[in-house]
Amino acid sequence: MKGALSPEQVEVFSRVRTAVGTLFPNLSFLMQPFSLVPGEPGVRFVTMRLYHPVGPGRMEMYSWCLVPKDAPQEYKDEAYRAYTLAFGQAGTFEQDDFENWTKVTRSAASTMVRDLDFPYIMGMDSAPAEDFAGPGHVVVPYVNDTNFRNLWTRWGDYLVGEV
Amino acid sequence: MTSAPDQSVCWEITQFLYREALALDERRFRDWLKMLADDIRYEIPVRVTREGLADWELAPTSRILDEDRQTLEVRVRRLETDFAWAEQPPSRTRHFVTNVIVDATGTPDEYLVNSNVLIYRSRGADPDPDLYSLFRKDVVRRGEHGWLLAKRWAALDQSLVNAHNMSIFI
Repeated sequence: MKGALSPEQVEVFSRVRTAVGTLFPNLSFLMQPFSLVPGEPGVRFVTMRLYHPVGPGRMEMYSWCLVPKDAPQEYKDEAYRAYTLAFGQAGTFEQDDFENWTKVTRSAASTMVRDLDFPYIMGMDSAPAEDFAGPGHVVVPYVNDTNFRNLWTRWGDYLVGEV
Repeated sequence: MTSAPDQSVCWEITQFLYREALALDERRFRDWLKMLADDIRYEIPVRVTREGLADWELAPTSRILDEDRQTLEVRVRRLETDFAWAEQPPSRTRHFVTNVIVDATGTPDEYLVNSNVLIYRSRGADPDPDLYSLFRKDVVRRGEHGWLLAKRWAALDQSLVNAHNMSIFI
């Protein structure tokens, strides 16, 4: 990684604890530390997931766990076990997510929701952070709707053939 | 070559598996934990669709569950909090354990137990239940106070699991 990034960029990454993102349209990644023992600092891994639509309101999900190539085998084994405890069909986190996503999808089709607007306006007026070392549009704080706006705008571009 | 143990052992182990299933279906998870050996290994590999001549169908390293005593206790403790949303309200399960075959192993008081399991799972007011079909290859050990599950090696009979999650113990 140090070969591909500038020292300033490495410095930014070195302070990152958790990272999430999506490659449009349906490949997401999550990087976070997780421990087999609650309360301990744990090991960091990356999970990539592909949401493969199979029809209206249905998707298949593929999930991978990635670990650093040069990490010792012991680290890789612990990271994979931590990933399995937290994520996947039986993951202690992901079980809840699957339940939520199913219910959210069903609720979004309800008559009550049809009259609601979904205002993705959080952070719209944030000026880009000036001293960020990377490429990309960066705003602070990270809690904002920029990525939702990006996703739906891009999707809209494809729909109207403006890509 | 393994040999079939005598009838009383086979009957006792089958009864043990039924009581284990009942503890899970009645959500007596602390009772269930008491039926596991301290060195329990509970591994559920991912099933992969491969051509018939492939040398494996169960992924060598991919796991749906890969548990020991400590992580199973974490899972039970989670179920006892207010925050296990996937199980709040709880799933209703029914474990149908059948085709129990008991074989002696090289180790005294330890038996290899094959069984088929069908688990019916229903949640909330959803009229469509989930059905999980799986095989189990368990190691069941005679302990001081009764039988214990020392190892569970089980896999679902699907490569793509046809349920929105697997929030239950199999």
